[in-house]
Amino acid sequence: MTFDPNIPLPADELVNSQGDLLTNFTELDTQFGINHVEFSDTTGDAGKHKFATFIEQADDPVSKGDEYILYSKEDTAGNTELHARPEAGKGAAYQITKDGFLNLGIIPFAAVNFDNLGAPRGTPIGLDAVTPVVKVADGRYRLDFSAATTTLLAGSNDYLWNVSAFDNSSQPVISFVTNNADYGTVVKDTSIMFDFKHANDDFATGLVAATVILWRFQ
Amino acid sequence: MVYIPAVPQSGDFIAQSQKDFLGNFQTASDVWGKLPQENENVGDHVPLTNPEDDERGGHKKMTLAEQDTPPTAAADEAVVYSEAQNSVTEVFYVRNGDAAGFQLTSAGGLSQGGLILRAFVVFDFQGKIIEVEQVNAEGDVVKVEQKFNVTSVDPNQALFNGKNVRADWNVIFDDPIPTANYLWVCDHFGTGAVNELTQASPINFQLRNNAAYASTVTTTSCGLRGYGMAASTLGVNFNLARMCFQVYTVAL
Repeated sequence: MTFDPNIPLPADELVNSQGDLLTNFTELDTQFGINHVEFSDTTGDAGKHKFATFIEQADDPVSKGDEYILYSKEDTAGNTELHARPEAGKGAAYQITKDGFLNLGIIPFAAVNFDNLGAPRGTPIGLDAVTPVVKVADGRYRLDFSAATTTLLAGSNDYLWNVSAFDNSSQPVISFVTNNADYGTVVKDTSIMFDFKHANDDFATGLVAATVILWRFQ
Repeated sequence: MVYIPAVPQSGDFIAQSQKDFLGNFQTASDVWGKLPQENENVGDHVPLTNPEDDERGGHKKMTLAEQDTPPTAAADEAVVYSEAQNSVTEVFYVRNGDAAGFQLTSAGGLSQGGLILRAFVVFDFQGKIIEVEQVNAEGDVVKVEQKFNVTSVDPNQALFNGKNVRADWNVIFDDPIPTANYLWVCDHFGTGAVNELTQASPINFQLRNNAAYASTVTTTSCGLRGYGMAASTLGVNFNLARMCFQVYTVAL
């Protein structure tokens, strides 16, 4: 059955129109129901979206004032991704998603909050499930990546980090990737090591909490 | 009225069909979307009877009813939907060929790589939040504080002659942030002399030292502190000019 917008015609017999009208009412309910809860739904959800299927657009749609357009389009990698166009005069169309993430340029791939023993406070992401943080010595900790993270990095150690900590002293806690003449010795695709020191170069032995976020380019 | 897809039937009289047609047209119109003067939150679409004909066919909003079974995307399609994640309805998207959908939201925020940005602020030594100039919808230049989910940055110690003389602050959040799975980023800029190592700079800007984690990190605030490197400047630093602070939590 196909919806026919051109029925009934003035000269149609009622016996013909009955079938045409039945088809149209049924098709309206069926086609609306592909992305929406059907017109005929009686649960109170009629008209809401079950989901929204965005069929790839060849070109960026044009917006008017006071509207924002969400659509899908093929990106430079050949994937159908969500895009958006702000209201007219308020900016160019842009890509919202990329490869399963929001398209922000960098993505965190590992993160953890841990205590003096290296025990995670909460749920780490991207790290080894059994020993995510290894206390190498007082004030020195190694983060071991999960196998999936190592695979994700694909042999590259060109990633970014944020590290910060506080302890139980009155001294500043200086947080940094462990010094080494060779970058690849401490920044690896399998792990990364951090030191936490006081200004007098002593290790911070009373660490209360440290957090690390590691980012990769998108 | 309930929309009846299976009308008219071959044996129906026109008097009955007229009521069915009217009922279907009215129900379809109501479900599609109501006019603002009636109840603009009813229906996801611009009403069929909208007086602005170039707005008809558009969406007002998109209410995503939770799906028990995630949809699949055909070639050249991207599908946005909602699904329960830890008993909370969250937004996902899926592309053709993806084994599973990708989660876009978590616990009231956008999820990027499993983290949610919960708060950020840029402030000066006095705790004043730095402002940037932006052009508003009316074309006027307005000053906007560089913050997200932050009410204020308050001195943690008494003022001296009306001034904050200690590099010691509490960042107060608008909405509480769970302290589980809590991650932070601290960065700063100091105005000390170049190559100065022994006086007030370089400076360390970090969460306030305390033996008890919960004394520094709470759901409603976070304690921050600047430390000079020399013993004489611990906890005091007049050269801290600008601090950047961010809080993330792990997506659920």
